[in-house]
Amino acid sequence: MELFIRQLINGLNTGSIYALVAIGYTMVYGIIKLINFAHGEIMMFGAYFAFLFAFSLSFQLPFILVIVLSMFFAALLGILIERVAYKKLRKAPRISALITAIGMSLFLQHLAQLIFGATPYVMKQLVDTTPVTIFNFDISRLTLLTIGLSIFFMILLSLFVYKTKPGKAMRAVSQDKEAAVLMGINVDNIISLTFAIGSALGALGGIFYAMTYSQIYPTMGVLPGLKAFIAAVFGGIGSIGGAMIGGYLIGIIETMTKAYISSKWVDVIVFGLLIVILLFKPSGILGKNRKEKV
Amino acid sequence: MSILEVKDLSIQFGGLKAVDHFNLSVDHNELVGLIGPNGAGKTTIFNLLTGVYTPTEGSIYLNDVSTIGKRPSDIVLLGSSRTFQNIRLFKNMTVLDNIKVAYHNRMDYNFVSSIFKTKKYKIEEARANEIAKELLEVFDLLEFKDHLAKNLPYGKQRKLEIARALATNPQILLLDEPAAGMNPQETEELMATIKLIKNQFNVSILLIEHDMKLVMGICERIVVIDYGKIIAKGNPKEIRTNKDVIKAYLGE
Amino acid sequence: MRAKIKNIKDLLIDPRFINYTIIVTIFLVMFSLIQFELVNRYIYNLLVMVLIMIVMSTSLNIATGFLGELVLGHAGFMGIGAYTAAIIGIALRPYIEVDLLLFVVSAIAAMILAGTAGLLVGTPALRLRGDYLGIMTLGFGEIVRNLITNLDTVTNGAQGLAGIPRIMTFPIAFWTTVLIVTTIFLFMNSRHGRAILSIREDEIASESVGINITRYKLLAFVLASMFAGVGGAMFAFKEGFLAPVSFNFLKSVEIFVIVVLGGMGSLSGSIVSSIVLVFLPEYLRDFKEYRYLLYSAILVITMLYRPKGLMGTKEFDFTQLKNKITTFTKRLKARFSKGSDR
Repeated sequence: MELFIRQLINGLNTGSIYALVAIGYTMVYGIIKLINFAHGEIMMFGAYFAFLFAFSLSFQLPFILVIVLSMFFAALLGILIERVAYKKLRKAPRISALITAIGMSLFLQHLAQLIFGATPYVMKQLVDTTPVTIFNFDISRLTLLTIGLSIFFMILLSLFVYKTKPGKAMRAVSQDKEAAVLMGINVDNIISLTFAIGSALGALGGIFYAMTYSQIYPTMGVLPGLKAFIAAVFGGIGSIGGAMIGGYLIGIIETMTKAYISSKWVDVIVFGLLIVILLFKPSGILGKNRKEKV
Repeated sequence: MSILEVKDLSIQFGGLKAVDHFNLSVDHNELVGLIGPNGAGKTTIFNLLTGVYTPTEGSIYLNDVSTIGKRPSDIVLLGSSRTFQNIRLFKNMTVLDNIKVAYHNRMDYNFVSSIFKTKKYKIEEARANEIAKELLEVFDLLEFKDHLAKNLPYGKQRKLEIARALATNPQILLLDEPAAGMNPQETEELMATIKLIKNQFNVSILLIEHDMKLVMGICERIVVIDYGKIIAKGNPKEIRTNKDVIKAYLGE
Repeated sequence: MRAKIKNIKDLLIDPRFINYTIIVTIFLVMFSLIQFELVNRYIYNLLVMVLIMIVMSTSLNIATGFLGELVLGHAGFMGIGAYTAAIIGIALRPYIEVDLLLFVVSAIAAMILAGTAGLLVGTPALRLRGDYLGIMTLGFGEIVRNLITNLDTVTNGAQGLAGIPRIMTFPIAFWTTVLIVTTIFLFMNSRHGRAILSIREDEIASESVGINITRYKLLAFVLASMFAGVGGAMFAFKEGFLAPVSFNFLKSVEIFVIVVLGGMGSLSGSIVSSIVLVFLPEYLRDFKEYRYLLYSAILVITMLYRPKGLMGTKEFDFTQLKNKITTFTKRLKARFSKGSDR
């Protein structure tokens, strides 16, 4: 039982990261129907930004400022990627946009390799990691921070999407772009905003990921990116709530597999799960089914 | 003997009864029009007849064979073929190949023959070419045979779609708004074409159309539906004066 | 229909004859370059690699170019083929001394196993469309790679499988490639090929003219995976050593990029782009750090400015080339005579 609860907490930790990253996939998909393969790389750049802000300045920035600055720059990067690579392809066949996204993902990986080198950076801890004892369980402060901050930002996002005017515009654009234009919504700005938010949250996920595994390297975004994407599909791609649920489920399934089966089979089980979901409920837990009209 | 026999056909989407106990019988070489206001359920009926949707109730017999639960491609083999409201051609294929795709099931050579280019392959391909060309000739499309379908003007695309449907050798042809988007002169031409194919290919035709001139001009019998239900049946003259029909189209 | 060939002149202008002659000429030129050792070991290896990538890209073209479905796990089928061929090749080496026979036996086994995998994945997967199918195949590719790593009793896991007979000579690779590309070409020009193309163009219309789309999608998918299996077998016998990492997502993307750059639906496009994309990075070695950056930038730029790829859906035809040269010379002559008139 104790092992189970410990694993559950670990699962929530990993799950928070996946959920944060999955939100970016799902928001972008919801708005321009594109699987943004480069999202994993934004996560990676977010981690590098945090590293730079934390360790390369002559003075020590407070942790929260490191996070906010990294998120801000990742948001800029996200907007830049959309403007340069995806904007022109909005009306192109889906396959072209997808190939561009794959190309962008590879480009960013090798750009990072060129700038930072292929050798991993060691991410020293940015926060105090002494464990806290809750109900006789020693839990790392980092774990608590990861889970806490993730949930905080997810609540903030939900409030933004459902309670503010730009949030409403965002939902309108994802429903029907043409109609949104007619209602006077600036679709380009809304799409940029979506990329900005998704990228900022992805960067946050990347920072936590780097702190959890203490390493930053150019291809670090690939695998967690794919898993977060699976989480988004699991929850129902296009649905923000679904991405959160999916993220936590994948995180828990992964840690439980590691603990009770074998770490060797984690990827097989997670990818196998993806295939099973796609076969039986491709619309995911919270998604809707759509059929082509004849 | 009737080619198509539809009894109590119904389909429900959620709470909405899109088609409600629809009955229809089409005889050999008959030209029947299906009309009704927008959203009356006309295209839904076509989708039921061609197997795109499965009805919640009712029966469809094509040449005395039930089509319920069959895939669209198998229903084609039973002798029905259709066109679409918004043209669906194989845009990046040549005009000739559009026809030859529809001729697929009437050719008989297997995978191995095509790789070794056997005698059978050559004979069958040559025959397909001949027949496709003949068909294009009928529709005045032969000179465009090597053009990509997407490069044809609109009216010719409509014609090509009908020609393609005929290449499957149907006994009944379902035309979904063939005159949509055509100017009066093109519509006039289309009416002549429809009459021609009815006689030359000896098929029955069921057509959905909004252009009343076309419907009244060529249909032998007309069925009017509204809210998924048949509200009138009869020859063009009867329909023109039917009170329910006028009410459905113009409101109270 | 083609006219009967009566004399030599007819034979010389027969398109089939021209194509055959050109293929044989290419082979003879390459082969004599190798025989007279004008080509070093390094280039030789690259040439075989080009041929392998041609097999991989033309086979993927069946599913992605002609059928129009997104397949992001082609390396998975290649991996299955490679390991099957390697294991059988190692086991049978003591009994079969002829290299060609050993290759044929192993390659057929690789083809069957990869094709079976294609059938197993394709049957449920092809119900999905577009992006979802792409992701599903991506997931499949990753599972295959993990299985190869984990089933170490058979595959020797992450350490890699060594001791595979290195029997992949240029002639064997060349004629295998010619055989496969020709098969795909002829297949695509049959009623079956047309049916597959029509599904890419409009699934619903295709069904409405009597094409059994499930069957043809599956056929295209299985053919693609079978030939990928052969490509894998060629790879195994060329390298002599296999590791699971050779068949990761990046490999699938690499093959995919070749197809896209060459033009989805153009076999000659795939051939040209295989040659370019195998040789180009080697010549960019001096810019090692920039090489993949350039590679991915080219991909993005192509999509933005030439989304149909190098060749679009067109095929390059030697007979057409001849026609073009004839018209060109005619025009030159006309110009020349015009000039002399004045």
